[in-house]
Amino acid sequence: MKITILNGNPAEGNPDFDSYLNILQEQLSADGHSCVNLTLRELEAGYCTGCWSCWVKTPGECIFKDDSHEVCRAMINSDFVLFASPVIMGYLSAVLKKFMDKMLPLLHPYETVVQGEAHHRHRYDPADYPLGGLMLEKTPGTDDEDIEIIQSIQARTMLNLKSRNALTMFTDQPVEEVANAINNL
Amino acid sequence: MRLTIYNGSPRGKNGNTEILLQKVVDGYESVSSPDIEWLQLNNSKIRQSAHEAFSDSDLVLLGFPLYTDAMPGLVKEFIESLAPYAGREGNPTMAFLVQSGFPESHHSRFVERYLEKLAWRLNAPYAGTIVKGGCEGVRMMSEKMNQKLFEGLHKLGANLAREDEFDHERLMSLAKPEKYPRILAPLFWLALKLPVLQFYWNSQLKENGVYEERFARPFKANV
Repeated sequence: MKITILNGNPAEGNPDFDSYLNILQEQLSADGHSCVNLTLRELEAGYCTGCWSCWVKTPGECIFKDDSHEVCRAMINSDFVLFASPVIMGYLSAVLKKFMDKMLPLLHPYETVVQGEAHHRHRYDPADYPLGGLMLEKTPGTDDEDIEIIQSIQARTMLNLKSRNALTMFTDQPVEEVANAINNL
Repeated sequence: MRLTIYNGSPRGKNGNTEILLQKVVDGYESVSSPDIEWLQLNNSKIRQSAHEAFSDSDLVLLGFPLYTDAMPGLVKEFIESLAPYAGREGNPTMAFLVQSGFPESHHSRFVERYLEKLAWRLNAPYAGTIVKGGCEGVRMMSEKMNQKLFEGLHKLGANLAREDEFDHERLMSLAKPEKYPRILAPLFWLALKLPVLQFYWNSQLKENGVYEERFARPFKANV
């Protein structure tokens, strides 16, 4: 599979999280996948400004020529995307959320009905949208309810992206176990 | 009594969130006269120091548009800056407003649950979350077309001033439609195809001369 890891670790001060993902990437590559690991904090991009140019001026791309283009490209050309982040104040990091907001150009402004609800129409072939996964680090104060809330929001995000959240894993699990779960998708 | 309004809209003062927050504040001021501070979180300088006003407030109202099923990234950055106040005694009461362009409120219920948990995490009394869908057009519609919505927000603001929390029944009533019954899905589907809805996008696409490119797929590797 083509796999993209979106590393949403905000701080250089948490090297264990980065190391975990680096080892996971090596393991997945050894298992025969083509795996890219993007450290989002090192990429240049501003927050989505809600200008909607990606829908009405430059259809399909953010009007700002920043690294969100590469993240979108990786996303739509992958079979599986791992959204990875330490849990911070009960949710994914701001830097990961920033790049998730910037995935809006992957959708179309027109709306359609999915599961009885209004959702944006696909821009790419529905089969092009990757399966999603969550890789979370439970930080002090993270409880089961936080994980449930993150998963429920992620399930919505993946539904909007014409896909689903296929698995949720944690950095206290052995890398082999995580790699196996991904291999079995 | 200090009331701090955080507008978490990336469009700042020019967006729909600002208008909706203003109606809630008007309602609040019809009952009480707090010292009010407005902070626009889309301004990065303001965003970085916005947490200082949090600890000095008795009540905060944080509003934002639903972005990818949750808070916009810049609002998450602000929330992370509140980490030092987690569990502190004497934190302000927290009220929230989440608006979205989707017609149903259901889309915003998932982040609403997060917001309630956030107040708990901060040891802040939770006043409730105003959830409203179908808001993309608010800033372009006449006062008359928005009248019912604005009255509802005004009453919720007055309600907040009197009771220190939003009235649950009123929140639920304002949020309608919550979700369309499944049996209506085919009608709903047809409604979304109505030219009047697509006109909003098509007219902008045409104005920008890119209507023909509206289905562009710039990131697909050439096969």
